[in-house]
Order: sequence, then C-alpha cells, then structure tokens
Amino acid sequence: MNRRRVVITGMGTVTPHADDVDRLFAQLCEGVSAVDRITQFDPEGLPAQIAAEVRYAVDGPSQVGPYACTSRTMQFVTAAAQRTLADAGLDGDLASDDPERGRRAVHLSSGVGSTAMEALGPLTLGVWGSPDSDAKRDLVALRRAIASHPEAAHLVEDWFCDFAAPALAVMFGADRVSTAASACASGSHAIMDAVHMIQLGKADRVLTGGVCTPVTRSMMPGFAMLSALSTRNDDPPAASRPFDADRNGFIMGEGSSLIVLEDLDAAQARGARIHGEILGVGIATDSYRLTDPEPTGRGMGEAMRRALKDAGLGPADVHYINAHGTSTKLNDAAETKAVKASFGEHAASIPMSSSKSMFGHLIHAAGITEAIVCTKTIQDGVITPTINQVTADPDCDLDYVPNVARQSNVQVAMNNSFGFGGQNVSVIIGAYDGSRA
Amino acid sequence: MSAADIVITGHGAVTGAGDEQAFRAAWLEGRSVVRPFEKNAEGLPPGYGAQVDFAHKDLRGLPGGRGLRPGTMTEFTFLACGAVGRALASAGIDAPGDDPAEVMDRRGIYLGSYTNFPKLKKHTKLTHVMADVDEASRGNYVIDDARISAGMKGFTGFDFLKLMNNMPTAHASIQAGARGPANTLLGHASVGLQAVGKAVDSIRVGLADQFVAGGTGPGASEGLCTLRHGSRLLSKVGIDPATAARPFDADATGLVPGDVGAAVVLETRANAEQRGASALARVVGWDDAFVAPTSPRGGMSDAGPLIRILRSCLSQAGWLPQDVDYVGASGIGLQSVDIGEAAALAAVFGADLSELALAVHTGVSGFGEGGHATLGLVGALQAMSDGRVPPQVNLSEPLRPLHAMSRIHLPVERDIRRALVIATSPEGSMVVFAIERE
Repeated sequence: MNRRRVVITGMGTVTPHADDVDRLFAQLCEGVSAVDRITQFDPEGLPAQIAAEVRYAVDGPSQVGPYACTSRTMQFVTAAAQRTLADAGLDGDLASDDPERGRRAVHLSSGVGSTAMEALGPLTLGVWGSPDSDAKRDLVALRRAIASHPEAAHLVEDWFCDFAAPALAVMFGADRVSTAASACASGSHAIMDAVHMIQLGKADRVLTGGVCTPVTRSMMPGFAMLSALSTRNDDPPAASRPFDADRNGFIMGEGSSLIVLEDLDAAQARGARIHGEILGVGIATDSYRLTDPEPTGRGMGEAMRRALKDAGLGPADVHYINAHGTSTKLNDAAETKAVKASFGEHAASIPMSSSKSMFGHLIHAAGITEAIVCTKTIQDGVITPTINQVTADPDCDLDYVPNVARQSNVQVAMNNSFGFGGQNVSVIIGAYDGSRA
Repeated sequence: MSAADIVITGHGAVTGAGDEQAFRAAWLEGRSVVRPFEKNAEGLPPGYGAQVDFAHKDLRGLPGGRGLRPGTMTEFTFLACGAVGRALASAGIDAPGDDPAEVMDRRGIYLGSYTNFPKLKKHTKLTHVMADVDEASRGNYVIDDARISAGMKGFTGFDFLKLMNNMPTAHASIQAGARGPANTLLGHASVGLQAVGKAVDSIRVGLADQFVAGGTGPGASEGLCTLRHGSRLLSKVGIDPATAARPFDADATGLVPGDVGAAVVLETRANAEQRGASALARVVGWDDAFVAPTSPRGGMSDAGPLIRILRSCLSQAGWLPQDVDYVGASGIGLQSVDIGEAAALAAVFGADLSELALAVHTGVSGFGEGGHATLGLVGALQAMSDGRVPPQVNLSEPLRPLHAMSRIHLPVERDIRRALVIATSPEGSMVVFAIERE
C-alpha cells in the first residue's frame, strides 16, 4: 500500500525579522541581519551582549481556554498559531463533539522558557535579606517561604513550557498533544513526528512547530560559558557568519514558527492551498558527546542519507540545502564534511545557505522556521544567502550562497537540524506535484 | 509493520523501593514505600514521599554506565539513566556501546521527562545576587543587570547545559549506544508511556529495529515538590506517609511525591529472534488523547477522550472488555483526575468491572511524574511473568464509579495474558497501552 503523502497547508511565524512569512522571506532575500545588542536587559559586562530578539509588539491572544498568554513563550507561540491557522484556513471553531477533533493533533517542540528563576527573586529578598549579605543562604528557609507562597508555582511555570502545546490544542481543536525537545534539532524533529503520525493514519492534520525564548539573564551567560556564543559585540550584524573563517560562535535568537501538515487527500478534500510537500525525513544520533558534534559528521551525514532514502531520491535530486550552519567552528566544519560524504560529487554544486546568519539560532524553533524558508525558496525561486562571507575557511569549501540571494528553480530542498546532545534530523521538502502518484 | 510485530524484551526501574525487583516485592507485600523525607529535604512540602537515594556510583555498574558523567546530570537524567541501564540489563544488552555499528545505528531511545529542573538553591542564589541593593533595602526586588556577572560566580556551562530538556535522552543515548532516533517527550506526567508509544510508531515506520523507551520523574525532588505544592496538588502535610498515597480513594488528599525512572526495551520480533532474546510480551495497541482541564492543572474535565482511547486499544488488539486479564490503572491519587479515570473504566468495562483485575501502583511508589506510567507498564509485565495481581494499596473507599470493582487485598494468582496500562496526568493528556504475553 502506498504511504500517505503529507503536504504543508499553513505557515505562520513570529521571528526576529517579522511576524509574517512573506516579510520574513523578503528580508532574508535582502540579506538583512536581525542581530543587535540585547534590549530585554542590559547585557553590559556579559561575554555575549547581542542576540536576534523579537523587538516589536506581537499581536496575539491574551487567553486561550484556561491558559493565560502572558509569558513571552505563550505570546509568541499562540500568535504564530493564529497566523498559521488563518493561512491554512483552519481557524474556525470545532464543536466539542466534532469527530474532526480526533483527526487533529498538535506536536510542539519547546524548551526552557524565559525568566523562571528570575521570577523567584522577590522571595529571596524576604528570606535571605540583602543581596550583598555574606550570611549563609539558608535553603530550608527558602523552601518554607516558597511553600507558604503557593503563587510561587506560577512564577516557575515559564520554566516548564507545558501550557504551550495544550493551548495550541485548544486553538486547533485537537484531541492529541505532544511536546518534545531534541535541542537545536527539535523543530525538524517535530516535522518528522508529525509526518509519521499522518503516515500511520493517527491524524489527518497536525499543527506542528516550535517556540523558544532563551534571551534571558541566565541563559545568555550560561551558553557563553559553554563557549557556544559569538562575542563579536562590537558588530552585531556581522557576528553570525556560518562557514566563514572568522566565525566564533552562534547568535541566540527567539521566536516561534508553526506549520500545518496534512494528509494530501484530506487537504484536497477541503480545497486547501498546498505550499509544498514533505518528501522524506531522516534521523540519526551521534551517541558521542553532549556538546560537541561527532567530528567526522557521521550522525549528520546519516540523517541526510536516511532522508534521501525515505524520499526515494538521490544526491543529484536535491537543488538546495538549508544548512544547520550555526556559525560555530565545530558544527560548520562537521556539517560540510557530512554533506560531502552524503552527496559525493554533487556536494560542491548544491547551493547551501544558512538562515542563521541573519536570524541567529532560534533553537527549538529553528528547524521549523528554516523549513518555512525552504518552502518559500521553492515557491519564489529565490535562494536566501549566507551573509557575512568574507574570509574563506579551507574546512568549509562548498557553495554557501555568499552574501547575495540567488534566483534558482528549486524543486527539492533539504533542511538540516543538528542538536546539542547529538540528535540530527534532515527533512526534504518538495514542490507539490499533483501528477505524482 | 503492525504493532503486534513489536515485542518487549526487557524492563527496568529505579524507585523509592529500589530497583524493579524491590518495587515488585513491596507491591506484592502491599507495602507503601512512602516515608518521611530523609535526606536534605527539611522544609520541603509535603514532608514525605518515596525518594530514591541518588548514589551516582550505582550507575557505573549498569550497562553503558562507565561512560556516564553523573556530575553533569540532574535528578531527571540520573533516574533516566538508571532505568535505561536496568532495562538494557534485563534485555541482555550488557555492553551496548560495543555492539556493531549497524546494530547501534538501528537502536533508538525515547524518554518522557516531565521537565528538567535544577537544584533550587544554586539557581535561586543567582537571582538573589542579581538584585539591586538599594531597591532591596526598601524591600523591592529589582534586577540590577550590572550584577549578572556576580550572580554567575561559581557556575560553569554545564550548570546550564544539564538543564536542557533533552539531556536525559542525550546522556542515555550515549549510555545505550543508540545511534538511531532519539527524542525527549515533555510537559505532561503521562509522557513516559507516550514515549513508549512513539517508539512503537517509530519502529513501525522503519526508523529503528530496537528502542529503549520510558520515562523519568523525580517527583520527590525539590523542584517538582515545589511546583506541585504551589499548584495545590500535593497531599496534606502531617498525615501518615505510609497511607498518604491513595489512588481512586475517597480519602485521598492529593499527589504523593515519588521518584521513578522506568524503561522497557522494544524491538521487532525479527530483531529479538536474531539476537536470541526472549519476548516478554507483544504490543497490540496504543493511543493517546488530550482534553483541556478546566484550569491549567485542574483535573480531567471530560472522561470521553479516555473512554475513546480505551476502546481504541481494545479494537486495535481485537479484544472485548471481558478478554482483558489485567488493567494497570494510572490512579495518580488526585481525585479530580482519578474520578475521570474511574468513570472511563466503569463506562468501558460496565458489568465486567466486578471481575476486572485492577492494579494500581501509586499506593506503593507514590506518583512518579514522567516515570509513573512506564512503571505501570513494568508492573504489567511483571504480573504476566509471575502470574499474580498485586494488592490495591491504600484503596479503602473507592470513588463512586468504581464501587462495583473487584477488591484485591492480597496477591491473587491469575494467568495474565492480556493487559491494558493507562496513563493520566493533571495536565490533561492520557495514554493507553495494550500488551499481550508471548
């Protein structure tokens, strides 16, 4: 039996560039960087003082069912969902007993929320006194204070991010919900899981994507301690430079992107507009180290090869790769090796660009945002560039579409996402071909 | 491939009673292992729970344990790796990292972890030090950004890395030599069983031949105790710990914290046969659902979705309600959730309820968050193996929908071939699993 075909019928986003897919893509085509000095707090004195923040007011719901949309995470994800469902034509309400609910699902990738620990600050003053005090900080007293302030639970809810997917389920009228995280691979992982839900017949329509709001007082220095972030504070737009010899780390970004994936027959039955098709997915794990990619790119390459196999395609069939391309020394070199190993003689001729050069690393929302970029690339026939390509790195010698967008008839695009912890996912997106069996 | 071609070849757990065997012994004795908090838990509500003694050296002796770095783990990761190691040993995978590359490439790992949470003091100290001194003298908490660096004193990158939600799986993938799919399910207390279901689906679509899957939930950790207390979901302070965890009982006062990590090894029948592994049971169905609670953690607002997925699993398995030999119920001990589960069981089993072997482990182990439901699956596998339905611990006055249920005070001998296992959660998601003994 032929497996069910899965198509993209809705896209929506809240990214540092814009909360509109077309405007986001237009700015990427122009090579506009969204990286700048952090505004959510004063980062003076921190190693990394720059990020790709959402610097505009996000228009979205303030309450969804029982869930308040007050945190940055909830604001972003529900606003992105609103736009995605509108784009898909699925923003109408379903009756509570509508059997359609049983055919809908939400699968979200999310991670650490915005400011959980900071929100516990007021309690610490009452318990421990002046922050300059040398007195021993009494843990038991803190616990008792928290226990006597039940509202403290609400302060840490942001940490858990466990209301985001349920809120989307309420908006979408879905009877199934899951939340998952595989670090920086999460967004693509969400696509893969959603595709499999549809292929196995467990759902006809899945709202899937990711959200991440890590530009916080604690996470920024924390990632800097891992030597993961760029410290090019004096020139923010030039800081994210994947594959360039002078790259020195990634740029933290924030945002949320979502797509609606549908069984092709179900989409056609309701007359949905089809943006593109998921042709194949591949996953592999390094099982190597927590922070570093396996240096030969074994896991990355395996994910790409598995995606090609799943799609029934060969290396010559891929017209564009949206790279994971974080701008770290290790990742970009390993990804380059992995592409060469997977695509062989074709590697040098396949354009491969990194959107992270412009909107930084959206972590749990990265893979899905870049899948949207791939889909727009196919729709508009323009490959977005990798900006800040100035000095060639001998270890990174592929065609990274340097600095300027390129017109190209892209019918098949691969999106790569590789996570801290060694989880690697590749997704292949194609133009929708109605004549294909 | 159908789910029935997927078999379970191993299981393991880390609980407040000890490993899965100690847990089984306590359950068959009808003995709760909930006790007053013993270690470094003064002031932590509710003052009792089923805690695991986090002895990092214990991980070293488990399969794949030598490569682990316990110092970079949270309690979530520790329990996950403990359970994964126990499950690997049970499945006869003693040196997973030494397996041929083609075997590791086809081995996946999915874990459910409600969240990942730091030690309270270290990270809260950071927020304290960040406070503006002048404002603090007036009793106001205002962050002075110039003091962020001072707050970071004593931290390393690993203090933040280990909080990432995928870290339990990242550590365990290295431990298990798993180079196939890896993922961490989050956000709801039912995720441990959802992870097992997702692993079944991933085998079905050909992503792997073998999976380690399960859940981790340090319910008795300070982070989760704090959160659950703040949400007013914990059981009362000052009551007898041994009788506090009361699943489906009218006198239950709330969740009783328990530390649980539990995992199973799943594989294709062909893979199990090829390596000479014994199949304990085959998977014959699973399904999941969500219904928004009336408030963010307000209990099960509608039993309908649970009824639907119970019937879905019966249908997938080709069973009638009377064919079921054993139900591993979730019974988390929170009445607002248990009443929905009870109503669903009554609706699905009807007149057969009086004959139903209803087992629920919460009275023994407390509520183990992301590990809770996987421990229920482990319990079902143990019952299939030893042919005993364990007693219902601390279930004196069943909730009204279960008044007709069969009461089990001592272990009952029974040939258990067909079992359903249920997961519920305060957040509104639920999972049902159907397994059949080989």
